[in-house]
Parts: sequence; C-alpha cells; structure tokens
Amino acid sequence: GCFVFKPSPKKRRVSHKTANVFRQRDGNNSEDTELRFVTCQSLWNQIKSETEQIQEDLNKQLFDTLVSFLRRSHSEFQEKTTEWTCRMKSREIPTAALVLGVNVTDHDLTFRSLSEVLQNNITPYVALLEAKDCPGIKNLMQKLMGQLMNCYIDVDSLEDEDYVQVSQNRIRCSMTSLISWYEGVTMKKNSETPSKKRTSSSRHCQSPPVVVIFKDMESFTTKVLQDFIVISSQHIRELPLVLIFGIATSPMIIHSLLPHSVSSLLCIELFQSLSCKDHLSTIIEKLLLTAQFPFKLGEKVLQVLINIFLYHDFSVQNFIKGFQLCIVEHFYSQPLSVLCCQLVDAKKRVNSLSHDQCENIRRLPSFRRYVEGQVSEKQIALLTADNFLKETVQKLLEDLHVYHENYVPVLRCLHVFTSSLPKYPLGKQIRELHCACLENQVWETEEYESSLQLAR
Amino acid sequence: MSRPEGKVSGALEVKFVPDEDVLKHIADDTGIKVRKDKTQLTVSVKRFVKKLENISDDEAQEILQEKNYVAALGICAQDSMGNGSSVSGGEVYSFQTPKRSTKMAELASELAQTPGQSVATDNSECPEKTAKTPQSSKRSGSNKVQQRSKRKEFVSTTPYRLRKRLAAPDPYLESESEYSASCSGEEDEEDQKEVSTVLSGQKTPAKTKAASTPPPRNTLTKKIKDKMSNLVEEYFEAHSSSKVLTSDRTLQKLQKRRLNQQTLHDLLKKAPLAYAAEIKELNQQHESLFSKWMLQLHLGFNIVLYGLGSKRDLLEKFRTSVLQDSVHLVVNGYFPSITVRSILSSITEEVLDHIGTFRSPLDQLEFIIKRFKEDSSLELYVLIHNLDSQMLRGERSQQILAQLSSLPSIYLIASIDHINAPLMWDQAKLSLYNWLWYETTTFSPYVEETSYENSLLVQQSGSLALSSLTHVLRSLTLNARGIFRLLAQYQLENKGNPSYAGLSFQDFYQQCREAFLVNSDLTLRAQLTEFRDHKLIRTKRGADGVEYLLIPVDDCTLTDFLEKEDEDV
Repeated sequence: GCFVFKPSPKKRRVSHKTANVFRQRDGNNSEDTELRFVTCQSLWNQIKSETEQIQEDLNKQLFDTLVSFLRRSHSEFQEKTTEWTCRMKSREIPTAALVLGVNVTDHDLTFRSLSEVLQNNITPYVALLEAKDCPGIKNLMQKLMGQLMNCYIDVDSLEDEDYVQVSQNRIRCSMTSLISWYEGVTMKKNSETPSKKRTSSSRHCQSPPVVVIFKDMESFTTKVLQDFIVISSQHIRELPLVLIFGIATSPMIIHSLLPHSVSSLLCIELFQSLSCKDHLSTIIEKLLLTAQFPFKLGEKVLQVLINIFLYHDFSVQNFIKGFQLCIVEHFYSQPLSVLCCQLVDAKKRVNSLSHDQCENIRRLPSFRRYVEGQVSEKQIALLTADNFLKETVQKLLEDLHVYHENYVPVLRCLHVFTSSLPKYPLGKQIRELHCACLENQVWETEEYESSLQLAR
Repeated sequence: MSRPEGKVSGALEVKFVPDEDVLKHIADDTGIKVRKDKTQLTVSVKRFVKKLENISDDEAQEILQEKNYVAALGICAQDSMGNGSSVSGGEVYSFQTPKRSTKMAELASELAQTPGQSVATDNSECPEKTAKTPQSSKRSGSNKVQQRSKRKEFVSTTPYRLRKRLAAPDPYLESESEYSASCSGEEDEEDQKEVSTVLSGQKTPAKTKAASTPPPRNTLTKKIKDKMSNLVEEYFEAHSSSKVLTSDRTLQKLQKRRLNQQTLHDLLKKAPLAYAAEIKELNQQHESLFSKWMLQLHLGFNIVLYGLGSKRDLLEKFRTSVLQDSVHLVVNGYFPSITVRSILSSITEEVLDHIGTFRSPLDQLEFIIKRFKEDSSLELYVLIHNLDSQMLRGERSQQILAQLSSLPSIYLIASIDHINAPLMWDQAKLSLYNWLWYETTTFSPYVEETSYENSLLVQQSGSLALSSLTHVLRSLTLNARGIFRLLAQYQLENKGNPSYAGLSFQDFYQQCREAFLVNSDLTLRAQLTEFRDHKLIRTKRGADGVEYLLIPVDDCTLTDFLEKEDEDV
C-alpha cells in the first residue's frame, strides 16, 4: 500500500523553496509578492522570538527555584553531611513535583527548556521520560540508560568503545550497570586533569546528580513507577538520583497513584508553574496591545482564537499557531499586505506602488468611505491621479500609526478605571476590553455607560 | 376506488420524470389538496404522461430510480389528503404493528393461492389504461430493457421498497412497491422471454387490487375517529414493543442470483453521475487551493482533508500537478494489509536508501528522525489516503505517524472519512500533527477505497475454491477422483440435514469398496491423506470416537464442481 515516487535525478535539484511556493500563485506583480513574503517571514520571526522570550521570562522564576532545589539536594549528597546520611538511611529520593496545568501541549516546550537549563547549570545527566515510551520497567530502564549514556558521550566526546559499551548495556539494563557506569564517569572525571575538561564540566560539580524527568506522570502505569522508585531507592547511596514529576492535574495525584509505602520513599517538594491564562494574557499584551507589530487581529478572529483557548485546550502554543496562520493567510491573500510593515518602510513602499496596486487601494471599502467624505474635486483626484493617491495614503498611514500608538495607552487607562468596578461591565481582562473596542465604538455601548455611572 | 388507483399504479410505472416536475407536483398537491381530490389525481397522471412524451426513451432509462421514490412519496401524501385525513410523517414511516403484518401475511398467502381470478379481472383494465398513452408499447419495452441493464438497481432498491411497504398504511404506495418487488422477483424469466413483461404487468395490478381493498377501510375509520390521539398512540405503539420488526425479505431470498464482481462493476460504471457539472466545479474550487496547501505545508503545518466523497482523486491530482519534482510517498490507508511498519520501511529503504532491519517501529522512527535532522536537504511529502482506516487508526500507529509528521522536513497531507475520525487524536497528538483542516466535499464515489470490501450485492463466488478443486483433482488418478466424487455426492445428499457431521470413515470405506475404488483400508487412508494435504477434506473426530470426513466447501460450489466433472466425463 505504500509507494515512493522519486523524481528523476536531473529534476531533483529543483527543490521547492518556500518562497517559490509563495510566488507560484498567479499573482500579477511578482516583485510585490516577493516583498510580501519577505515581510511576512520577518514579521513572523520577530513574533516567534518575542513569544519565546516571553515564555523564557515567565519560566525563569520557576526554573530558578528548581535549580536551587537540585543544588541543595546534590550538595547534601556531596558533603555527606549528617543530614544526608540520615536521609540515606530512610532511603528517600529527592523529588520535585512540577504542577504545570492541563495545557499538555505546552509542556513539551517547558521541559525542553528545563532540561537545557539543567544541563547548563547543574548536571549533564538529564533524562526525559514519556509514558508512551515506557510501557514496562524494562523499557523505562532502557530508555533511561540510552539517554544518559548518550549525553555522557556528548559531554565527553569519547570514541567507539563507548558505543560498544552503550549497545552492551542496552541488552542488559539494570540498576547495577547504571551505577557502575556512573561510578566510571565520575571516577574518570575526577582523575582527569582539570585543564582538559575544565571548560565543559566546570559548571558541574564533582558528582553531579542524575535527574530523571517524568514528563507526564499521570499517564505512567502505576506499576512501572512503583517499581522504578523502589528499585532506585535501594541504590540511592551509590547513585544520587533526583526525580522531577510533570503533573497536569493536582499534586494529590502522586498519593493516589502511589501507595503510601512507595510515596514515603520520596521526599517531595512542590513547584507551581505560571497558569496558562496568565501566559496568554502576557502574550496578548506583548503581541497585540503594542505598536511594535504592525499586524493586528480583527475582532472576530481574536474572539475565535481566545474561545479555542478558553473552551478547548488552554494551549498557548495553539494560540500562537493560530496567530501564525492568520499572518500567513493575510499576506498570502491580500496584495496590499505589502504595506503591513513599519511606518518608515510602508511610506517608501507606498511611493513605489504600481498602478494595479493603486487600483487595489481604491477598491478598499475603508478607502471608499474616506473618498465619499471628501469634496468632489478631491474625490476625482483621488480616483484618477496615482501620485495624489499615494500622498494621501502616506498621510493616512501615518494617522493610523498615530492612532495605534495612542490607542494602547488609552485602552490601558480605561481598563484600569473599569477593571475594578463591580460586575465588570467592560470585562475583567484587558483582552475583553480590547475585543469590545474592536467590535464597535465602545463609548456608544451600554456597558460603557453603566461603567461610567459606576465610576462616578 | 379501483379506477383512480389503477391509474396511479400506471403513473407509478412511468418513472421517468425530472426532479423539478415531481417537486412541483407535490407542491401543487399540497396546495389544493382537499378540494380537488380525484380530479387532481387524473390531472397529475396526465401531466406525467405528457412529460413522458418529451423525454426520449433512452434518456428516460438513465434517470435514477430515486425519482420514482420521490414520486411515490408525493402520491402517497396526495392520496391521503384526498381521503380527507392528514397523514403525518410518523404514520407513514412508523413501524409496522404486528396486527397488520399478520394481515399482510394472510394477504400474501391468499394471493399465492388464487392468482388467476384477479388477474382475469384486471387484465382487461391494464391494457386499456396503457393504451391511452402513446408510450404504452415503448414503456413496456423500456421497462424490460431497464430491468435487464439495471439489475443492480432493482436489487438495491428492493429492500427500501419492502421496508416502505411494510411501513406504509397507504394502499397505493403498497401497490407500487409490490410491483417493483415482483419485478425483481421475476427478472429471471424476463431476461429470456418477452412475454413475461406482460405477465408481470398482469400480475401487478392483480396484487394491487387484492392488497388495496381491505386495509384502507380500517385505517380510514381509525383515522377519522381519533386524528390527534392517533399520533400519540402510534408513537407508543411503535416504541413499546421491545422487539423491532424488520422485513424478512433478505437478499438471500432473492430468486435472482447475485451478480459477480465484474458485472456489478460494469453496471456501476454505466450509471450516470448525478450533478456532474456541479461536482466538477466543486473540484475545481478545491484544486485552486493547491498552491496554498503547498505554502502551508512548508510553513510547518500539515493538512487534513475531510468531507463527504472520495478524496483520492483530489490528492492524486495534487500529487501529479504539484509534487512531480519532489520525493513523495503515497500511502493507501484503505489497503487491508497496510501497517505503520510498512510505511516506515518504505521511508527507510526507499527514501533513505538504508539497508538493514530494525527491532521495533520505534527504533525505526528514531532512525528516520535522526536522519532527517542531520540532513536538512532531505524533504519528503507524505500523502496518506484514509488516515483513519481500520489498520492505521490504532493508538500506536497514530502516535508514530504524528511524530513523523512533526518533523519540519516531512510534509503530511492526509484524508479522513469516518465521521468520528478526529476522536483518535488527543491533545498531544493534535499538537504533533499540527493540522490545518480543509473541508473538501467531493461527492465522488469511494470506488478505489472500497474495492477491497465485499459488497452485499455481489455473490460470494466460490470460483477460487472451485478452480482449485478441479486443478487438484485433475492431477489425481481416476480412482482418487472417484473417491472424492463419492464423498461429495454423499455430502450433497445430506445438505439439508443440519446435524450432518460428515461421512464416517467406515461407511466411506464400505462405499468405496463397493464401487471398486479401493481394495484396502490402507489405500483409502493414503488417498485421504493426500486430500487432506491439499485441504480438500477435513476430518473430525465425533463424540463416539469415529472419524468423520467433510469437504469444507459450500454446497453451491460442490454442485458446480460435480456438474463440471460430469461434463468432463
């Protein structure tokens, strides 16, 4: 049922570039489409990096506390203080329970950045485990060792013999082999002259902990988790293990999943991540309620995206993807979207518009409304002379820009006034107010009236 | 009563009326229903006939029988209006109450016993009525042609009609459906003899007459008595009985033998596509999206097509028009033996040119992901027809495919058909797939997709079993063939016996000896071993420890086989 089609090698050179695809459209003016594509890409890249930045900032606090927790557990192990020894006797594994919320799709990104942070700051030995890879304890061990050994190779970049070692270990995975591996690694590191490996391992202490992250703790089989915890608690003396549970629902799940005899082997500390709603608010504030990005969402689209978020998945990632789709769609289907850029560029681009594009402007409903409001000579000039049209459009664009610059602060002021009123006539969140403003003239609405009454 | 009814049944025979006329006809009737009851009837019949003149005969054949159904509905409504009572939809379609069904059975038996009498009375009326229309001769001719060329339509529509007949309290509707049922029943003869059309023509009115006289009386009075409470009662009547009454006229009971695959295919091919122009336009609309799809695929989205109709052709067109210059993989999800492993293997072996095996699909997936991440110039388009097919809808397969599709340089475009297909994806998989949903309703038939399925209309032919039987037996000695014949004959003799377990070895040995086929127990056993090796027979040990021999082939095939053998000898 599967058929592979390969083009002949001659043709194969011609691979589809995204830009080509964009251009393939039967667009009339090719230079504009190219420009549009470039604008679209640059805008999207800006937005993407912005969202990543936001995410990073939001997670920073959480990660900091996590890192300090890991440091603590690990320093205790190293110093072999009395506290640690007594804990060892009770064989408790230090565990971080990370409550992340129900937006499972966003977790992936969080965990990826978390493991990055950990690898940079604490330990090279980080293993990410997912429930779907671990139907049994054997698979779990296999996966765990595979990941640990691989990162071992990555960090110290050793040669073939280690590959052999890896494959051997893959066949008979057990805690013992894991421990012997760990001992070997730490021994080697300690015996090595510091000058050689200083750069890579300086940030890590001499016997770094092994961090095992369970991405989706709820979906693991109870038996697998129990077995793993019991087995590893036996070996906590030799192997400084730290567990991180990713939890979507509530921390109570640990106790309902694991019987007391097992959960007593864990020394759990709770960490709460930022709620996804706050995340979304930040994203909307940074992406939409700013004059930085020329691309704005209309009322209906924004409403749809927010509704999908609130009523379907709580996924910020999906919201951003929807936003991306909006951008692409806009640039793809609207020839005039070439003007959707920073004001300075837009003015330049207006000057170099072709006649067809001018016609496109004339066909815009908003422009028509503008023309109808003018005196008759001006109307004729606007509809016939391209140059005059361009000048006017430049002026109008500037006005629009000014409007947007003023809009956001005014909106914020209004929000501050109305957000603390009883029953929230204009909405609790600024995004609700924004939607209301987009929908129609907000000062004409009943809600505005009532909120003014209340404010007095 | 009989006169307008006869006309109606005549009008029902006139099946070839365009949609709009039928609709108009219905609308007209409901508009002026009560005042003109009988005149309206005749008028409409005339209109039917008039319309018929305009339509050429061959064209008429092409029009689908559905219209007949609509027409029947219309007349049903009209007639009940004419009777002065309003028939609700629920009444027409309600389940048959047991009381009435016994009446139907009585009627049927009555019919079967005394056909001649009623035929005689109606015989005179039938030609007279048809003679009024200039089409009469043509009609019967076309009727016959249609029956011959469109067997499958009759076969397919019969159950509908039967159901309708059971449900409908209306005599005219009954007569109509009765007619078509008889048509399909007598098709065999009609294929050979022209006279039979007349025969069926005679029979039909006979039946309609017999069927129509008694029931309307009580239904009518009942209706007048309690119009309103009627509905409620009917509702509870229909829903109170726990056992649902269905027609026992199954496909098995058809006298006409079912078609083989090829004939059915040919017949379906001949059937015209309704609304061809509109569908074409629709497809063109979909095709205009191709470049957009390409763009979105490149931007990291994957595309899923949903909507009624086969989307195979659309995807094929996409492939041939856009993907010619790039490496792409086509997966026919509807293929009954497709697996995720085969998909992965075709990627590793043919796209990545990797020779070697993998321990598990997950390993294979890991390898693919690694390769695609290493080499950014690698690009692969994956087209999956029916992502929701039986073989691919499993959780694990979907997980693997989702992970595959999440690679930035693998572009997936797939189609789904099941209405609940989106339920197979949870949030995690959805975010891996990163779908963009396109509704591409094509209304085209699922020809390719269902080609691996068995149709109800197709006779499950034992042709394969038969040919293998003859082939194996031809290579055997004369005596061996004789032995097998003996067993086959014995089995056929006992084919009505449900407790037939097989022929016991001792009896069989006795028979074979008597026919001078074997001379010892051992030779027979050797022979049977050979049969068993070819899976021609099966042995079972009964409760008494005796060995029973059985040929694991259905009776029809066995009969065919014996006939063929007789010819050969």
